[in-house]
Amino acid sequence: MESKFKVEYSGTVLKVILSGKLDANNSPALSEELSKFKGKTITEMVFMAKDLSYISSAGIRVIVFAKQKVGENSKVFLISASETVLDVINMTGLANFMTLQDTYQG
Amino acid sequence: MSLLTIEARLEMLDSALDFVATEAEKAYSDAINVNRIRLVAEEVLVNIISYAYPGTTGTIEISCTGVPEKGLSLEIADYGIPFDPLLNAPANFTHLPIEERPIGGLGLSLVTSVMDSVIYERAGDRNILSMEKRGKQGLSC
Repeated sequence: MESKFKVEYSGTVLKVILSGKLDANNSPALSEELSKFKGKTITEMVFMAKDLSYISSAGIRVIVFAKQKVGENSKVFLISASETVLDVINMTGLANFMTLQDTYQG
Repeated sequence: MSLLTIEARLEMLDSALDFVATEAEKAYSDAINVNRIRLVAEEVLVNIISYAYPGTTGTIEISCTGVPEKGLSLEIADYGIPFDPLLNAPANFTHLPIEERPIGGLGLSLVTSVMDSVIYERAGDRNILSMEKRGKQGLSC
């Protein structure tokens, strides 16, 4: 699967639709894209992971970066993540700080 | 044992990780463990690509053996500046809230938590990181 991402900002929700891999190759580009939303009002950051096959620590870094530098006061969601992606989220201790859902319910 | 030599460039990452994952699949039948090995290899390789050859290029040698039930051994070597990643390992901060974490520095703690042993050695002009992860039988190969 091709690795790509799409970012949508609507209302106060920043939605990041991920597919393929989020690794050292493409994470910097996603961080840069998310930086453009600095200063906007963001109440929820939603990472859509249904088509995400792999996340490395570079990808985890993007989520931490987004929470710290882009949507400081937002609630972070991870939606429909696969077993292997969830494993990485758990290992890095991020699961406690995100809302994990099968489908996005807000 | 399988061997692969790559140029230390980010463009080579995917093929190197596929190579390691193929060996990991021999050792482990579950997607979780294969994925964890891939993750470990990415951390180590990206570190080397980013820091081993400042201002120049070089190679990375990957040697990997996966044996069903016994586990996997993975050795990653470069000819870059002497660097022991274990000396600079950050404290484990996976318990920290997302707001309080350093943005980087997570990689190496993943490597040491996934693998059962991680040993650094400087041999001649090579940095060698030797890692093992045991399989179900509890023996490494």
